[in-house]
Amino acid sequence: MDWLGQYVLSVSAAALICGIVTGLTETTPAKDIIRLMCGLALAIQILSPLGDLDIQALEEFALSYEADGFEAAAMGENMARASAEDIIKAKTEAYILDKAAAVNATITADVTLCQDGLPVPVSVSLRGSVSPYARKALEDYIQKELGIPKENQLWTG
Amino acid sequence: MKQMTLLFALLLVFFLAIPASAVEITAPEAPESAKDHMPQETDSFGEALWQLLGSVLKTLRPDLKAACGVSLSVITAVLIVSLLRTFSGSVKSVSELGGCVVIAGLLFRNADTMIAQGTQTIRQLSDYGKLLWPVMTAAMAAQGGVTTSAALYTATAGFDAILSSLISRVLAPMIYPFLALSLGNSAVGEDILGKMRDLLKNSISWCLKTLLTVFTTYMSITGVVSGTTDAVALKAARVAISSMVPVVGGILSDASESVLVSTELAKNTAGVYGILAVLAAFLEPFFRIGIQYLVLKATAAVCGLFGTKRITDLIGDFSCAMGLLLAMTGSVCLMLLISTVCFMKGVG
Repeated sequence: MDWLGQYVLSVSAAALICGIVTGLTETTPAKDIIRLMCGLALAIQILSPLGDLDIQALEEFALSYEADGFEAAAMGENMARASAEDIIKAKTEAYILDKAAAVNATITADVTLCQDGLPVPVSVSLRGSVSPYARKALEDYIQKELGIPKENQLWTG
Repeated sequence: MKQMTLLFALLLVFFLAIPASAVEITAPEAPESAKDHMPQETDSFGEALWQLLGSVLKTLRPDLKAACGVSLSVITAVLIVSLLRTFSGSVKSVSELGGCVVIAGLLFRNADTMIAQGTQTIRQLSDYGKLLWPVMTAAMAAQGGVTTSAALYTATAGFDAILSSLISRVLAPMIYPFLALSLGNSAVGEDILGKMRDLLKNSISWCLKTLLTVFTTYMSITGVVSGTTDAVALKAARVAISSMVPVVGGILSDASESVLVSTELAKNTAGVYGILAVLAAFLEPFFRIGIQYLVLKATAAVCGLFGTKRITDLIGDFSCAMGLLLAMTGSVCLMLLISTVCFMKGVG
């Protein structure tokens, strides 16, 4: 607020001086030039704060909000991805268990999703005692329908 | 035993309250001053708005009474000044000068209270916006509008910082010199300070109009340009999903659809709550200032029947000051509402 008070004071003082000068030179032949000079001086005084404008500071001000915006957006994106990953993992595991039940196998499955691109299943840990026939059938199902290669299907137990 | 049961119940509520895979987005709690007016249910926006308006209007009766009391005092003062002027002969200007000072004294206290309240409301709205926008940005980004949400956040937060600081540090305090110039102009009797007073008034309204126009234009352009970028990115993701192994593609598609739907719901709920919270914080002070504005306008009209032009103009200027204050608080609220609606509009 101090700067505003100083600004108003300086503009008022300039206007007063200009008024006195033009009033005193009203009858002289140079009155038009003096009036023009006073007008220019007053305009410079009014526009003087523009000279103090710090473009660098304005740029930093805008950039700080841009960074905050991207941070908030990234948070939302991560939330959505985590939420989608939960659903994909649960659904894929449910699909495998469903197929296992169809070949009379009782197992547990833990699916790992791709972390870089789309969250597609890339590997699976399977636990349970399964007959060789059922295991072969399940491996084929998982490879063909879920796209997880046999080398990424880890059987334990 | 009782404590154990309570602990168990709390744990049960805690575990049941955590959604399995929903995106958790909730609007920040309404500001303290707005809590009394916040509707119980915010599911239906129309009903909630009526409840909110009803609650706010109920609180305004004492303000209306106080404003009418001041108005009656001013009318009485103007009447006395007019009588003194009629019978004072050669000292007419002295009675008029005294009248101006008395009337300004009567009106200044209210004006000062309203300016303080308006500034406080602007700060409160701005603070609430700072909590609401990151939530809305995250919600919009979760729907795939990453570029749009970041751009909207940048514009909204930047403009809010400029507008609220400008109003609370420069424009609202400028009302005091405006009133001082009005009093000076009315007291002197000649229209010496009138131009300066008009310059202040025009500067304030010009600043507000320009900032709001730039803001709405920027928001419209950003929404269209960034929205297109996000729509293209979403389309590319859909194409990538559809080209996958059918079962995996189906699971991915279902998951993304489910996340989109839950996010849309959460975002709209947060947006509606946010809008209502903003209105709950804004409406009471806005109506209070509005009452002062209307009562002063009416007072000026009544005083115009028997008072002098100088005195009537002075009352009119006080009402104009309230009008400027209304415009300031209204601008900040409008900016908050526009930005929230832009966030709620979604992608593409």
